[in-house]
Amino acid sequence: MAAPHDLQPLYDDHAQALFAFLLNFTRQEADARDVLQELFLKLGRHPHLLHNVTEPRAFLIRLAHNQAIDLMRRRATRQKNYDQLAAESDSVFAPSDNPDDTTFRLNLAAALAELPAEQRAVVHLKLWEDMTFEAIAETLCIPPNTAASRYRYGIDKLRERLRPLYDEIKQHGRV
Amino acid sequence: MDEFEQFLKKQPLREVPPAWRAEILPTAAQPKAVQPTWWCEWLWPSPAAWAGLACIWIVILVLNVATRPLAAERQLAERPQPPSHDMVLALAQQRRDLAQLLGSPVGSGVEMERRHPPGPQSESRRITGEA
Repeated sequence: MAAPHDLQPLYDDHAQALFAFLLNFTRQEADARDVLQELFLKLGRHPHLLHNVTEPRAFLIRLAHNQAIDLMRRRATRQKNYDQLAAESDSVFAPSDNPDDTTFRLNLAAALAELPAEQRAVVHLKLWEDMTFEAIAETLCIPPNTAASRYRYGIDKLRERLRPLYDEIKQHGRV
Repeated sequence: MDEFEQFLKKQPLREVPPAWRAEILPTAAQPKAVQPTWWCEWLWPSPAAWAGLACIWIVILVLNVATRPLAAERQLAERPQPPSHDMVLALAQQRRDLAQLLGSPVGSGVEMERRHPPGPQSESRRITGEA
């Protein structure tokens, strides 16, 4: 049983990254919260999971990824219209006072939502966790080549979808 | 990473809601609730009644063991009993009385006994019937 003081630094160091990853992966804030709760509950009950872990961030993301997949599978069996629900997803990006930024982030969130979840996970880890393909591969239990190709496919789709908006922002010199 | 990817990378992500920390950490630190076993759940509705029933069965079992006959008693009960001497004499007397009534000569009881040694009851009955 991990004491609260063992979990607190872990939460403070990694909850933000886990939240962003889970929100991007599940597209639902409530799901991200459920998985985060479940993850820390698991760590509290099985503290030995953290023994000999050299990269806690990667390890926690792997646990979160697995639990999010379980959650989505459970949901998929219960409700057929999950995709429709996911379309009405919660944005992973911070709100902005600037209308251009807000527009771009909304479009980026929508474009991300259109990617398959596994592509989205790789794109997220590469862009916002700054992980290498080897680290992503280890975290998501996939070959490095698969991680690289998923990233490439994902980025190409985002680029294609966001090109007009991005070009406009670029013209205004805001890039 | 090209310019486009760098631009995406710069987009700030939402902060984890601060209230979650106070909700998640205490729950995670709580001891795991002991899961009742299936038999506990089964007995749970009326544990006193089940305990009473168990006591009654234990008493019945103890009484059953305590009143069980000994091996010597069982052997004695299982051994076939020969007809008693009094019974043989009574049968001979009956036979004599019958012979007297019918008017045929009949040997003494001792002679009868000698000719027909005492056997099982069914045998005695057969002899009596023939006589």
